[in-house]
Amino acid sequence: MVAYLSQEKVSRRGYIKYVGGIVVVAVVAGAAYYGWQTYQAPKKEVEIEQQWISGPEGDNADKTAKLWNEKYAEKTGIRVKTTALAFEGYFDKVSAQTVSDNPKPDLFEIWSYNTGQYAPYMEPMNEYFKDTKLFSSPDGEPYNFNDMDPACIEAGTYKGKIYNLWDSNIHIVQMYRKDIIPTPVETWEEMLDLARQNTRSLNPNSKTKYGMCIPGRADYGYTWKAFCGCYWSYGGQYFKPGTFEPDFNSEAGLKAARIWYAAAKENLIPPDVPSWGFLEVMAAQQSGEVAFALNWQPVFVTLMDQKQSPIVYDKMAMDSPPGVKQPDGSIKRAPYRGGNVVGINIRSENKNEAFKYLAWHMFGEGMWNAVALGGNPGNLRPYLDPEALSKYPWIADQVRMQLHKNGRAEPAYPELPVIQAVGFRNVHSLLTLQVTPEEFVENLQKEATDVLKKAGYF
Amino acid sequence: MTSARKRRLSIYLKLKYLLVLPVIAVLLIFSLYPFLSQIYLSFYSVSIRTYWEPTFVGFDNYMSQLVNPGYFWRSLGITILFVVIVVLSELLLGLGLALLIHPLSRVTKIITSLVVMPMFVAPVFVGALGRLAFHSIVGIVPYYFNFIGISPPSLTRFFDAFAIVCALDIWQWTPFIFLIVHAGLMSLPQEITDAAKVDGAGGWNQFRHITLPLLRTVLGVAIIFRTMDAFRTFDIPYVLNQGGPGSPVGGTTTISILIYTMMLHYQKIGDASAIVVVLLIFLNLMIPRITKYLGI
Repeated sequence: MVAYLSQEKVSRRGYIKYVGGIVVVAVVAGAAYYGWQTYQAPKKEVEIEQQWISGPEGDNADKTAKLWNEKYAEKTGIRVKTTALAFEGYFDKVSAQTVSDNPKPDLFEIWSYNTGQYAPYMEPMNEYFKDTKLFSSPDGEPYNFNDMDPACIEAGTYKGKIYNLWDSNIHIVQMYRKDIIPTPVETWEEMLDLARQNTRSLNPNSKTKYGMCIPGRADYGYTWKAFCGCYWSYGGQYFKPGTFEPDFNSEAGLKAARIWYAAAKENLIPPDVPSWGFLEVMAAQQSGEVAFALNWQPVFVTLMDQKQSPIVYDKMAMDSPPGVKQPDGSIKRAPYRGGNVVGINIRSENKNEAFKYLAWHMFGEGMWNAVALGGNPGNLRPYLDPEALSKYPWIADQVRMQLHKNGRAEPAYPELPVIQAVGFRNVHSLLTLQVTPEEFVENLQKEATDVLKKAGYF
Repeated sequence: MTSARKRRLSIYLKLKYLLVLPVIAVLLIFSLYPFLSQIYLSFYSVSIRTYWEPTFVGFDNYMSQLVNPGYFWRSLGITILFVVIVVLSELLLGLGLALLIHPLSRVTKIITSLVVMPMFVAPVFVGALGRLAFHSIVGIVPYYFNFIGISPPSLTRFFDAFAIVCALDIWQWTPFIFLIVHAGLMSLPQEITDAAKVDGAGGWNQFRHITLPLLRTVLGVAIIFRTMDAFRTFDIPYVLNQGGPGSPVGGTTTISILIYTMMLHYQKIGDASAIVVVLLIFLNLMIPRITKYLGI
């Protein structure tokens, strides 16, 4: 082209023809693009998109959405589409979506302790609950706000505004081989003793290669959550009373750290536990080579499944994690409690429709459908319903383990995910024996203090 | 020059610049703007929540990463060690493979297509495969190590984890060097080698005095490409063991993993940006020296 234009004999007409041709093509292309962008087929339905982490809850949510689409899409004009993203890097994706002011998805899942972090990007729902047209079933039957566990509402609230609703509980529980350990482990010291008895390198007659297993991945929330259950049961707390000053370098912190350190130092846990998440811990239990584990509660369903866990399916039992014996003989347990929660994207163009569906999912028929599929919701009705308790063993287990009563959640503030990151990275370092328990609590205290000081908490 | 010709030249020059304007605009938007944003953010304390309301902190982020606690230097050290080991190993193995296969003219194509297969596997998958393969209970590698009575490598020991990450990278990217060297060998003039043979030069002398000097530029290009790539390594060590053992700078925490961790786990977008800026300065000082040394 340049060669053609640079020829001496190219006339003005030639230039005009050539440039004119380019202009015409550009104009036609631009017009076509504009027309394509602005054309909207007449809409009969609103489609809302809900985004979940792929896994049990994501599958559950997809099936529940399909139920809604079958029964109510035509009636309400709201159709629900589910997107399930990979667990790895999910929050990186959500962060990018929210910061970029993307109107989609209309609903997205986060975890309860991310409430403060994502609050600027979620729609407050306080006023929606007051609208009886929205906060009711597709048939017009109003829902009861008090059906939701108040602790769950509190976890989804930041500065008085409700940003999300609790779909399912996250608990860290003990899962043990009942053929080896006949009754649930009661205290952390007992856990170590049983682990020693059931580790082949210490006891050649042991049925299992390792006595226990815990998550230890460096980038993993459960690594910290499992540790929290131990820390809190020793009387530990996040902050000094009445302040936002961390309180990790306490006697409780040291005691909990010593338990974790001993498990790693004495080789009671598999050596690569520091790179394990809940799936690897579950795989270790499925292999039959681990007697006891602390893990995320829903994996128990897989361990009980004959097809998926042929070696151990009939040998597993579950209970609240161990605790600390009190002077009066009782056991103080503080199992970690968090939740998969769902909120409305503040940039969504279909907020009313999104809330209508969300209310059905959390308070109505959708909630019961999720329970039937294996869910354990934040809504209290299943736990108080005798039929549900007899029909759904996972619901009965929750009540038996008193997870609602004893379960402890982390305090809700925006920097919580960062404190968690500090936590799980330090626990990982403890399990790799790179720090002693004393160094662990000091590092944890220092890093958490730095984070909160920089954020202006004190 | 006639006035008509001058006019045509003027139009031609204007048209030339006009026509490359769209490309320049794309480059500015997708390269220069993000780069300038990084420099801007490096002077602010900013998280996901405060992304649109950052707080100016001056050089605090730089001090934090370079001085106290100085994670940048530790991670850079691990990255440089990783780069040196993998690039050197891949160079030797790739060159060796290419020299081995080059004379086998009849089956070269078949062997080449087999050798380059690891390159087509996504690095994330290589990391995930490694995690499964080295699982202490169900993994195949510990199984065979235990079978022959040797303590298996563990992802939670510094040396082992580092060696595993290097091994996986070498397995995946040696074929890249092989391909480049192989192409270089194919383009070498046969007459020189024939003349050397006639003069009585043996295999080693031919390689040392003829093949290697002629391949110098090709090898230099291969080294530059692999060095740049290896410097950016993220997938394999992150999926394998999240840059551990240890944290926030563990045994396999490359600089890319550190940037990622700072930005998304610690929510220190400003710190991550500071690392990027310092890294850019460092690489701009390093790359010209390497290219000059290699004679490219």
